[in-house]
Amino acid sequence: MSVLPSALRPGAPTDERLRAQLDAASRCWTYWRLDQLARLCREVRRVDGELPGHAVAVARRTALATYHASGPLHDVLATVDAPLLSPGEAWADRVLADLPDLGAGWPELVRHALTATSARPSARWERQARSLLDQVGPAGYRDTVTGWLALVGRPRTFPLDRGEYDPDIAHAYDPYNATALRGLVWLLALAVDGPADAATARTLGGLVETSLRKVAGIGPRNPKVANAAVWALDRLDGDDALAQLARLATRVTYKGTLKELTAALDRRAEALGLSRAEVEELAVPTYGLTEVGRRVERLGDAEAELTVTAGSVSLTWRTAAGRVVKSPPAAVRRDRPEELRELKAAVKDVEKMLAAQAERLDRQVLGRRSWPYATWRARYLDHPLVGTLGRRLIWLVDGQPCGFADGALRTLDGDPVTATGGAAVTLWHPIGRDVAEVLAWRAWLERHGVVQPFKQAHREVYLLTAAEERTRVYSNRFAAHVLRQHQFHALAAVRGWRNRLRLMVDDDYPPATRELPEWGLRAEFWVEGAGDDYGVDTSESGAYLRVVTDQVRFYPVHAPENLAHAGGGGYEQWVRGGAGPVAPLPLDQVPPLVLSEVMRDVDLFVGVASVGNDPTWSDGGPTGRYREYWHSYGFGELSATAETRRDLLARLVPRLAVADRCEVDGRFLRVRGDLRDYKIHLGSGNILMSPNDQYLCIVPKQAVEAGPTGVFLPFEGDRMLGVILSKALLLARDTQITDPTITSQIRR
Amino acid sequence: MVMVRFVDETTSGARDEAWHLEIFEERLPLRELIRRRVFQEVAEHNARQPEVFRGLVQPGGTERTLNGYRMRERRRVDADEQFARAVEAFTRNGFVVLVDDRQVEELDVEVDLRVGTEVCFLKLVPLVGG
Repeated sequence: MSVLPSALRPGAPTDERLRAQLDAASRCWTYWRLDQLARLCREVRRVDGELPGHAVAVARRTALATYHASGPLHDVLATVDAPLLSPGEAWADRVLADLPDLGAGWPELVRHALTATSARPSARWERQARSLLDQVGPAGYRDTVTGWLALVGRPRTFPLDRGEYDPDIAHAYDPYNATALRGLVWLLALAVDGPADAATARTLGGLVETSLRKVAGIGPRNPKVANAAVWALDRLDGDDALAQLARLATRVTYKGTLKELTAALDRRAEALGLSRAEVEELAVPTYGLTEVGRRVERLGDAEAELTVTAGSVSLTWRTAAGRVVKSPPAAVRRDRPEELRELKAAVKDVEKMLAAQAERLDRQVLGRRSWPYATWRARYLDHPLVGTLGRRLIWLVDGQPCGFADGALRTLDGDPVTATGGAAVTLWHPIGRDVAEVLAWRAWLERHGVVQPFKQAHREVYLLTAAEERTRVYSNRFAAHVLRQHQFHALAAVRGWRNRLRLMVDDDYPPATRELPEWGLRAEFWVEGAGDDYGVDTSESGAYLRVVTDQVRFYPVHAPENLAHAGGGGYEQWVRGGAGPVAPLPLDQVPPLVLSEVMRDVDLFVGVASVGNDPTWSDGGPTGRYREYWHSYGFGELSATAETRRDLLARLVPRLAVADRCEVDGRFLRVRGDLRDYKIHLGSGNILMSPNDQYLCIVPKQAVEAGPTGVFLPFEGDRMLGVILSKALLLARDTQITDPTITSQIRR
Repeated sequence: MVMVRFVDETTSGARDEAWHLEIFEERLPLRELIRRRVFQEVAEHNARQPEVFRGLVQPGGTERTLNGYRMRERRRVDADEQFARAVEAFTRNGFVVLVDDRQVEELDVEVDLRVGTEVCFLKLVPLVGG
């Protein structure tokens, strides 16, 4: 029972009570008693002569959300023209604060922006926009509005009460303002004449990412605004805009916007008469880097050096006196703030672009690309930015494997490689190379201290197994796992798979699919929702928390889509018009490289998203249903990696002081302690204790000194092996363990 | 005087480059052996002061990277402090030492050094109960 504000208590003056009621309504996202809200607005305006901005905001949000196109609330809003934008969002507040000083033409511009209700501007809208822009001056418009756009996506300045079923409104875009935002973005594209400058392109690129960030209960925050920014980037000319489009194409996973991005890039490619992949290659700006990974700027007497090493970007300064310092000298900060800001922004740009390019190169693995030597040198080896990645990869020049070391392309033996301009260059991949060569390259990388931008020499290889030869058209290698759906869904999108989040509803879903147009193929990973207990097996919004995995298959790229009902029941091809179903491709006809890469993705999904990874699930999750799966995952047959681990352990264990207490036995390393005996599983590192095979939970300490989150550590070796060894040493001396979180389990 | 080989073994089965140290004594406590190793690598680091410290244990104010510990700024590393850290790490199973393929468990155990003796350091993972 909340205490009523004094103004709401019976006996308070009517006017005050009305104001307080309207205030309370203003703190809602939408206020569903429309007629009451309309009445409150009318009354308060009658008394005060105007309406508070936040009341207008809630009325506008509500009017936009209702199905009615007219009614008392709409009538009230038709007579309201201030505030121009709804207050409560950082960027809109700034607009409202700036408008009085900006002078004539500006309010009309914002009003015009509010009419941006279509998906694309009409010719008439553009004509009006241009004449309004001419009034305020395009350059001034650009500077002002990029400042406003930078504030979009900040948390609300006027917090609202979140109702029980409301989405996370603190991070939502106000729908009324979102329309203005779209209009302002369109206007920005029209205000820039000629090639876009870096700042404008950067602002628009940032806006796309901000607007697609996911929020609980909403999903991507505002695809409408994101698409407007993509439209603007597409409309703008120049390399910076193109670079943003290419960067976003590797980052965005939201389907609608990704389609716009793809279309924009395809259009550019067509206009230039190039392939899409080539446009993306050419779209990488140098950001002022003059040689591979280095840019030097003179700011007055000081000198700034931007260097790119192994994927990180740093800025160092040299003062007039020649001293090297980490932070910009005071003179620079005082006299050249503009240049300094630009330089710092460039560092951020380079970092983002590096990540996007590493991602793009990783995708080239299946891209079937081959470059003429001269072109490849320019775009991949000697390009100031991409070169920092290209020089850390292994390439095949005319079939000769080589890497970059000591300033030149060299073979494994260190002989320089020369080639004619037309020689074909492709990306090296361990599949189909002999094992000795792969190991030699790994050693080579280690010797030269090269950290690869993505796993290349250490890339896992998946070959067709005997079981798959028997099943012929599908693989059961990753079947019957239980995965956390949301994690799986996110991972799949990042690896370029198409997947739909499965809800517990009466609907059909396609499998997770990766299109491989270069190969004329499509890979499918069949999954189904797990469980049928709404609220236990689903999230609040009805999405399955877990999915069960099944086969991996390959189809010709244009085969009809397979569909399965949300609750399971198997996949079936949806065939139209009397055509027959299209059979899946026999696995032995899938190119080994494709098979290996697709299986690698699926292994990643299972390895990361499986509930078997979660030590807290040893009780089997909800009502213990998954206990058996969890156990078989944690204690079942060994994978190929675990097999090699066993061999290494057999070599290491006899040399340890506890050798007489340990033995490798099948899937386990058995350890004899003084209190109990232990079995450590060689695949998962999970431990079972005698006498009753009770699970013992010991996990690696998340130390403060945890390394960077890089997933691929070429020289780290096998972390799980380290974990198993450490556990064995600990448990062999179980009487000496002092950690109460462990002893309480052992001495129970 | 004998030459002793030092090796760092990783759990991938890969072994880093071995390096050699001249030792005059024929018997040394393990503690002293660790100290000599640490002092040697710190001296080499301080001579060049690279950005990355490659050594047995992590110095303060650094972050772990693939092939060593990245320093926030190029600086000298304190050998005594590193040695103290190494002893501390040894006592909580941060690493184990194998002398000629036999694990030595106590810091005060005297180790026999002959020509071609190999001292191998194997790093482990810190654990807690869950």
